[in-house]
Amino acid sequence: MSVCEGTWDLALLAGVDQRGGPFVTMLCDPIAGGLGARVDRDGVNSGGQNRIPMGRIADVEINEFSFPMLYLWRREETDSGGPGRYRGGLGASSCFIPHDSPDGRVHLVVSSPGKALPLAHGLCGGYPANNSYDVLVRGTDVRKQFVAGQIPGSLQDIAGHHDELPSHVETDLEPDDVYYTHWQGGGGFGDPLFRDPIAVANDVAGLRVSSDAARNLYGVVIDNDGCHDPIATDSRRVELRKARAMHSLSE
Amino acid sequence: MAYIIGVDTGGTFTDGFVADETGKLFAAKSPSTPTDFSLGFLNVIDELAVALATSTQDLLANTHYIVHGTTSTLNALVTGDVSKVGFLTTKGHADSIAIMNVEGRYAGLDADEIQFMANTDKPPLLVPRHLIEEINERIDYKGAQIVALDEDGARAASQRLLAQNVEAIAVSFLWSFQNPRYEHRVRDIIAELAPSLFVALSSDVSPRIREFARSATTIVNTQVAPILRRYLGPLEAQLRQRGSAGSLLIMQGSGGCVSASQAPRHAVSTLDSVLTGGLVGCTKLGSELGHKNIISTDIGGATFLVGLGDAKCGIRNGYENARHPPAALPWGDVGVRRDLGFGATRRC
Repeated sequence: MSVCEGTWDLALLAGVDQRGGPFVTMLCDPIAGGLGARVDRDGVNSGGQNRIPMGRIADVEINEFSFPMLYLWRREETDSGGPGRYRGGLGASSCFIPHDSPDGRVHLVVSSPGKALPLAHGLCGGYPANNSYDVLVRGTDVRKQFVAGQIPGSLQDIAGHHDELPSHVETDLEPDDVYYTHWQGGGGFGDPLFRDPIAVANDVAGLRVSSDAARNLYGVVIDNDGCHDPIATDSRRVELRKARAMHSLSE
Repeated sequence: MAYIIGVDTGGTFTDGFVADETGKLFAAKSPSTPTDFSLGFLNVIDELAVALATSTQDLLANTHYIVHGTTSTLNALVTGDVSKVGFLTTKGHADSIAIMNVEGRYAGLDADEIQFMANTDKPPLLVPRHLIEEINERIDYKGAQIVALDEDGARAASQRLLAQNVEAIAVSFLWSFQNPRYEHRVRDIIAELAPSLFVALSSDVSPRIREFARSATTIVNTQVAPILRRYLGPLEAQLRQRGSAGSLLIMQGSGGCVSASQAPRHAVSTLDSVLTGGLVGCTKLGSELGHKNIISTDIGGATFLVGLGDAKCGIRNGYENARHPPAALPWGDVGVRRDLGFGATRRC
């Protein structure tokens, strides 16, 4: 089994909750990390932590009931599983805005390695999973979008000052600030150029792999109907192998 | 003479049982008819009339009520022969049924299987990705409307699902049990597009906190409800035509009953109803014989069911019993072994 979610993406929240009492909590959503790919199978998407066989996360509703927060989304993230003959399990992300705290703001502590270098390694030619990626968007227009009947679907949909967070930060979430945390998936197993093109096409259809990653990491060309193009895939894989050979020659 | 009748439709046989007001009991048996379960049901009523040496007309006219237990829904679920369902949920939360709060990877497994973590997997998605649509709308934990329902978006999403020939649609929005207004509105919108399509709302099926279990329960309800709807409506009409004046009641997993017209709405509650019915009966029998702790079993053609009853009947929330799907409903304490029968999902 390749490495499962290489690091804990810590987010501590503290302040005054919606009932007026003090609260402090650790966001446990990153327990839903991707598990590493296995020698014969893909890793489990948002499958948990290798050291906690029976780990579980709270429903979004339980977190919103317990703490002054409102989720914009919680979802598995495309391309977060390490590419390989067997793909690592997808990591996931949560994105939320402070909600209904009498104080307005919520104190936030973020701490996670694995932002500059991926830590969920692959094995036997498999690639690592994504880096941890945490973004704080200051002074957003999210509440205006709410009034206009719109829930933002991605960071690109949110106007404001985007701060990509370093490994350790202590700050306050102001009432219009949005916090996005994207924890790691699992590493891949085996060379992605050996992955069954049908499995890659299914991953693209299921939003687990982007068509760019299919083309550039797996060497699989997806046609307009969502199927892999066998001839284009063969030549693309030859092209990628030649590029690797050139790379080793140049070194 | 007044009667009450019980009819149990199993995967192989349909069993009938009648009691008259003097306490006399008669039983009958007839093959089940899976293409239309109402045929086997009506056959067994005829058999009961023969056993009573009366006419079907006379038996039904004097029957106060008929209680019906069915494995048609459970068998459809364990063999995967369920309806094609579309799923509408709150924007940003379609993956809730994929993430499964992580626990979907190990729920229902034995301790040794859980410890062999590298061998555990989540079950396949309850609804394939192309049949899931996210809708702009948001209710908060207090039931306050944060984002108004995008009615045009809901209509367009429903049309995309209908274009893919879904047989039913499940709707589960965040916090809908606090404020079901948007779920109700979406049901109306779908009814305008497809008046006869079965639609289930999470605020009806399982109105309680925790969106994952609520959504999964609603989806499974939607997958099996059309099976009930297909035969219960015509069955009730046939019974009326043959002179039935009493109610047709459908056994529920909680140990109680609902009327036949309400049963599709609570279809998921029929999944363990046959066993729970047996468990309630065994507990009653046990109490008359002076036994407090009862194990009941039910060996059917498709599943092997085990129930445990104590002095309080052992009815508890079945949520932790479920491997697939998790159900946020009151169920009897029952188990289905996947290593017995063909391909039954383990739910222990």
